[in-house]
Amino acid sequence: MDKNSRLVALAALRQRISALERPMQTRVSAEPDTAWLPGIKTLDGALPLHGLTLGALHEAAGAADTDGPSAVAFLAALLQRLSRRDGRETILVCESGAGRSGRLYGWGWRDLGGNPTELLMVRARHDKEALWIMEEGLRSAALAAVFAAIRSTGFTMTRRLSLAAQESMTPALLLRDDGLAPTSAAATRWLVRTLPSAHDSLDICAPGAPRWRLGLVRCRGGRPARGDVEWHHETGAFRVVAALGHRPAAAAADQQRTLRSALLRTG
Amino acid sequence: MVLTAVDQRAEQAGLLPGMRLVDARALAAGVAVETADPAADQQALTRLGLWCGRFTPRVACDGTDGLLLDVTGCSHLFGGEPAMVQTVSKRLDGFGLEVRLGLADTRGAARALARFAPECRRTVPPGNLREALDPLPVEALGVMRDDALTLRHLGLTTIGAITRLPRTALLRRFPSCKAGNGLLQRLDRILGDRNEHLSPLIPPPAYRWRLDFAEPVMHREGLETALVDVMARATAALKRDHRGARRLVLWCFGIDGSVTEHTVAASRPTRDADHLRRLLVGELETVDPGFGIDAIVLHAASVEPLAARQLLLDDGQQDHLDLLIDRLAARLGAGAVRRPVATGHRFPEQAERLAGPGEAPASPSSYPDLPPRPLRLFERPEPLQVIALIPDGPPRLFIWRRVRFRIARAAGPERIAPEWWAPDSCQATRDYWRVEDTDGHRYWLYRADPRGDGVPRWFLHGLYG
Repeated sequence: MDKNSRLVALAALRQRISALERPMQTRVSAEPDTAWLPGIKTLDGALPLHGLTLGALHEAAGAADTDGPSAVAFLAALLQRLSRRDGRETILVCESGAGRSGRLYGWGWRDLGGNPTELLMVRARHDKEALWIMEEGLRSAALAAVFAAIRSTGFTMTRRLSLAAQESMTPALLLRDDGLAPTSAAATRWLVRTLPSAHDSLDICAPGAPRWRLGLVRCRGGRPARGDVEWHHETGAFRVVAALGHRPAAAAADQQRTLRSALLRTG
Repeated sequence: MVLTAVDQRAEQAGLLPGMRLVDARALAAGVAVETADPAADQQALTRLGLWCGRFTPRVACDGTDGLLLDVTGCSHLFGGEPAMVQTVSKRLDGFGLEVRLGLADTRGAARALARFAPECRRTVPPGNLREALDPLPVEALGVMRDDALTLRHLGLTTIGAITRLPRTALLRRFPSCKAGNGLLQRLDRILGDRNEHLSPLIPPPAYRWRLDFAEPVMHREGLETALVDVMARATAALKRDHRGARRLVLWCFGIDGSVTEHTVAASRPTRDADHLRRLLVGELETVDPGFGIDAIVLHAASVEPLAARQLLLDDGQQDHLDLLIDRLAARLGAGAVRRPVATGHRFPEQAERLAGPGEAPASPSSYPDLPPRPLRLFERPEPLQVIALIPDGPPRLFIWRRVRFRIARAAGPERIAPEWWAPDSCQATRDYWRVEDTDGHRYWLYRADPRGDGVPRWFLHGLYG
């Protein structure tokens, strides 16, 4: 194959792809308030229209087993960025099974900047029930968002949820324990890894704002991206973390200082 | 071992209740014996009573072996009183039960006729009560055993003999008693001169609709169609009275005598036929029609005033939400859908309660400012092994679920002491630490009873995001 015919083939393929993508893009641009802006500088550029599509399914998972709570916190933080429309204020939260990592705690939700009284907690016995609850919540068109934590699910179910979300313009957030399974119809998929935090601004020994390494693994109409962020609940905003604070020497010095001040305080 | 009940054939063989089992075996060697289970008997009787709800809404248990049906105003539905007795006895015979029936103007008389009349089916037309009761033995009055015995010693063996005596003479010998089974009290009740209460198995409902099927319904789809019909009548009646239902009960009467009960609840009063029907249809999925269902009864068990409402400008988002909550609660059970409410207690596990959707929502200000709390809380704190450099210092390392976590940062302690003002607070003081391990994961640990002596006990109570 010579160079010319390759270029022609590539151009044809590009055209086909843009034709496939066009229906979605026109739908998004038709209504200006269909996007929801996370406000993360390094990642917003990767998202279509610099925001998350409202009527779509967004998946997240912890990068490791122990990162589950961080993924929940990230989704909770994302929800704080979502503006409430049409008097829809309630967020349906559904967790399947008796979790090995406890239950969602309203006080903690408040400490991420949310309002616990707008939560509607539904207990599901298993994944299938949780997904049914989620779909029912999406179809009702009365909720600000639907959030569910499940173990795993298949492609068909994610497609159903996407369609239900699109119909009612309700964001669906799904936390999966199975990492990110290969097939899913979600609009965006996030991988969350916990990072050591900088110390608190007032107390050098205390942990500061939660810090995560976000991987936007998949994004329909956008491109994958990654970035380290901190969540500041007082301002309700993500802040990009400078990579400089993580030098090993700095960390060691930090640890020394922590130890010394702890001894000073207690001894 | 003593016989508590015998069947007809055993009776012919000479066996009687109260007889010892060895004597019974001596009389009839091949006698079949079952252990008596009074609780199960009572349950079966209650079930049969519920089944009799198809004849009249007012059914009550009479002792351990009888049912009372108040058929006032119901008998014409079955073609008059004699025809109704026929129907009842035919249906009950069909179940293989041996039944005696009595129908009379008063509850006591019906009971006396059923239990003591020589024939098995006895209907007394209105006004003929005295003639019918006269030949019955005095035990039929339902008086105390001693009184009945005294009457027999006096030669008064039938009710007729007593009613012919002057009341004053009777009152002197048989004073009325508190329990209401004095001779004259019983006599007045049986003759209808004194009121007698019936406490029905199903409390009389104000809203109740019934649908009989010409042919038993064998499939769930048929039931759903019938439900549309009943629901239309129900909502029309509720609308007429400006009321809405909070709780609906549907009874399905099986042709084999089984009764299934399905209850659904709404988070607030409603008379939306479609919504209520959808709630019930979810319940109907569990119905097994078996040999067929020949009647259904819909009953609004809890009804509240509901005025006609003006359409709202906000698209009725609250309505949509309520409908969603009802649908979820109907499918998952009432306890599955809840909202967090701050309680004002100090201990974290009590500081938040999950309230049902019917309760009033709390205001956001009810969550006061406290040091940061974890996003996930363990209902039951998990025990840990913790190493601290100095006894009261911050933890440096802990082992949870057999994994070691090295702590990089710690904040605390935040001391939570028992509520001295609460009389039943028996919790020990706790010192809470907010810690972060070297990977950045955050945990909420506490040390129980830090002022107590002995080995410190540590627990993990929550996870931060």
